[in-house]
Amino acid sequence: MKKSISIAIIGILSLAFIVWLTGCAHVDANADPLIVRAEQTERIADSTFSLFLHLEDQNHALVKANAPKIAEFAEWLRAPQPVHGTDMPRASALVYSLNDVKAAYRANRTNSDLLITATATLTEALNKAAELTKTINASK
Amino acid sequence: MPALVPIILEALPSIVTGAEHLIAYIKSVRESLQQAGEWTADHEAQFLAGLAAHSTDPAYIPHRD
Repeated sequence: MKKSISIAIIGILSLAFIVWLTGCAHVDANADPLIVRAEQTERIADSTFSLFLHLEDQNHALVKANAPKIAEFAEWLRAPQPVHGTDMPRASALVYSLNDVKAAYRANRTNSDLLITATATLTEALNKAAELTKTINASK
Repeated sequence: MPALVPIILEALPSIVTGAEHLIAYIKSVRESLQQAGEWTADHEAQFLAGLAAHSTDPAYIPHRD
């Protein structure tokens, strides 16, 4: 478990380094910054949930015994949710939901507030996944 | 020293598995942060297909315990 957790911490530190390294990345003049930001959030959220869920899955018994809130959040992300007539894990459904809002915004370029709110909501969930990973390390 | 061999062999799968996901994570975050334009339709379809594929990933299936 410690090895996996250490890997997660390295990942978080790497993310901070990457953010620092690419902090000046620009958006093309013909691209809508709100859409680009939503797509970046979608992909980072998907990757963060994936790393978190795989690490939790590999250490599920230990995490559940020592940090039940983390196991609980992982199960919340795994719970099936209906998306376009099929069930998906909530981790995927949350990302899919932002993509739907983005698609609606792209179609008529109105209601940007909804896209901003949806992007912020997903960012909050992915930050929680990252924060709980750090909590595992702090509690061991 | 030979006593370390079983420990290393036991730890190896978790290190390799964790590293695999970590590398995928770093690669994905790096590419996301370098994104300057909107996704193409193909790119978006590929991403959404990846989301749907998580449904069969054991790490995304609820534990019944």
